[in-house]
Amino acid sequence: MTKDPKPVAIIMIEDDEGHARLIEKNIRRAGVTNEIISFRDGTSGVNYLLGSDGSGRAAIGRPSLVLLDLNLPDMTGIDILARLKANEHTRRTPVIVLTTTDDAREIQRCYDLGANVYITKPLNYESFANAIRQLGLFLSVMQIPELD
Amino acid sequence: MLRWGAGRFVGYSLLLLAGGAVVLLMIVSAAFIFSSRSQLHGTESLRAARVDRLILEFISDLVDAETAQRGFIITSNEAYLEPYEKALTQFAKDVADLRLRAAEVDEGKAIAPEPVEELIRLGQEKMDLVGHNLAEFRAGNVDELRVVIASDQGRVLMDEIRGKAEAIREIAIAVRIARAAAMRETATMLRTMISLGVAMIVVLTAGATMIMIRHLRQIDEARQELIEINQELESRVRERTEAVMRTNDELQRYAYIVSHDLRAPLVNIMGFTSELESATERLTTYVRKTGEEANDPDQADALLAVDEDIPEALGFIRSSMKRMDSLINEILKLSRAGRRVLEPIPLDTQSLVSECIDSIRQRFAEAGAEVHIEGRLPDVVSDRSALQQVFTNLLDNATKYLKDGRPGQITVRGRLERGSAVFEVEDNGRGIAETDFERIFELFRRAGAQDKPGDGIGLAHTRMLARRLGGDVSVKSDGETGTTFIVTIARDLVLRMGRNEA
Repeated sequence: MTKDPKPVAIIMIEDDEGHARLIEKNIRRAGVTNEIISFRDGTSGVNYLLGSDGSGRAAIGRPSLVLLDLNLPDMTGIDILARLKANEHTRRTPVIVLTTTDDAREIQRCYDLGANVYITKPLNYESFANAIRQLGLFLSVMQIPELD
Repeated sequence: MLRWGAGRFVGYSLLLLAGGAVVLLMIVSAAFIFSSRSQLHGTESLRAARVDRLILEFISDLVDAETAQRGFIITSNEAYLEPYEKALTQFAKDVADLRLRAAEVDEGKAIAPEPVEELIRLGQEKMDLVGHNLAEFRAGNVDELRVVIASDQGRVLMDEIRGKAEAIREIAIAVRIARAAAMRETATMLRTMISLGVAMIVVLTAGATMIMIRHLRQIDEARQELIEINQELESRVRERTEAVMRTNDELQRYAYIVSHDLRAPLVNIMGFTSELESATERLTTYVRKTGEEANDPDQADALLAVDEDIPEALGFIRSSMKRMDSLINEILKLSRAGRRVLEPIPLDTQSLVSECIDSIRQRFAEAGAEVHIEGRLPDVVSDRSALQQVFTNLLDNATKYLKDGRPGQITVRGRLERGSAVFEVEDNGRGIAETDFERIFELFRRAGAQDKPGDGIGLAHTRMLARRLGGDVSVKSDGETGTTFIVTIARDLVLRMGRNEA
């Protein structure tokens, strides 16, 4: 991954600053050095991912991976997921849903919309940190498709 | 309105019934009176007729005797004497009869005995004359006889007899005609009475029918009204149920959202506490290292802080977190249980409760408690898992709060009550004070000595489940010798749910 001319950026859309910080810390601890771009709300996250015109052209030649929270103040993560997976330029971008919701129907819906991984934030910090670290390890070896 | 109508109906009915009875009684007694009067007239008429006939026979006897005498005298044939003898006998009999029967007519008031006696005397005289003539003829005194016959004495006598007889007959005939007329009159009266009775019965029947129809109409109206009231009541109950269910749904959703939203900051607190811990570890290592080198009182303070104060604070934060975590989890569990769609199926309650007992048998053994099911528990149509949870919670609860030093006795029993099944779980534990009867069903509230582990969830959960199963749970206890939990659930949840959905 790091060998690529354009390294994969991790785009994190998470409204809770504490969560964002903890996620980042643990990813770093796993040895992942990729750039992490944080967004605190859905609108700015979508603007970045699909571009301000919403066409998705902004994503061309910019390999990325999305870490998505479902409970956002301005829109639901499910809407973002649907829009990413519906756009021809971003539909192959891996999306990892990372949220507190463990409702079975919600999980099912995310996978139906094309989410690649669904992770429930565990309340137990150790397992949470562990999960994030493993996610980091996972990210360090996973292949992200080239977007053009 | 119905009651008033019924009262009036009964009043009218009784009145009609009484009227009908009076009319019938009148008709029957009139018929009785008139028929006996008619019979009397008939008898009297017959008696008169009989007297008439007897008089005719009386005369006929005299004529027969005379004819026989004449024949004998002309032919001297003894054979002619036979009818004479017969007429003589018949005459005696007819005389006796006539005397008797004549006195009977109108109790002797119609025909006076004097003319009858006169007639009989004349008849007898005539008979005697015939007998005398025959004696004369036998004796051969033909001349004598010729004188008698020539004197026309017999014919004169006979005419006189016929005259007298005719007078008496006229009286008898008059009596007969009068009686017959009276009989006809009586019959007419009877007919009139009967017609009148029939007319009255027709009127009464018509009245009764009218009242009945009116009453039926009233009943119908009342029933219609009742149906409307029922429908209104049902729709009101439905509205209330819907409102309650809506509120319940909202509460469940609320609990779900709250518990989820509470989790997010909790994750942070937990996470950063861990971060703080690992940072403290690093700090501790450093302070220890520098502390060993210099004997600085500030360093000793710092050492105390990292060794005792910080770990103590972190420990409290951690344990409080755990507690909050478990509470949130319980709320979440409760809200999930509340959102779970119930699946009512026919259940063998007896074996369901037995299974519940088996599943926590270990706990009974530890507590030294005995459980038994009293009688047979009624079967229900309900949600298996919810009902299991209810019984497990109550049995677990009973085991938990036994009185020290008193061997636990837990009894489960059940019965049917109208559309509901009522189950009781009774223990001989430490009991619950009356002031806590409602409190124990509230979330996170517990009663009595807080010497057992628990979050105050079980009974709140049980109540929620019982209510979802179409009933409720209540408690009975004297606060000392034991507690009885009474669970009521719908006997058939499909029926209950159907009614709410309809």
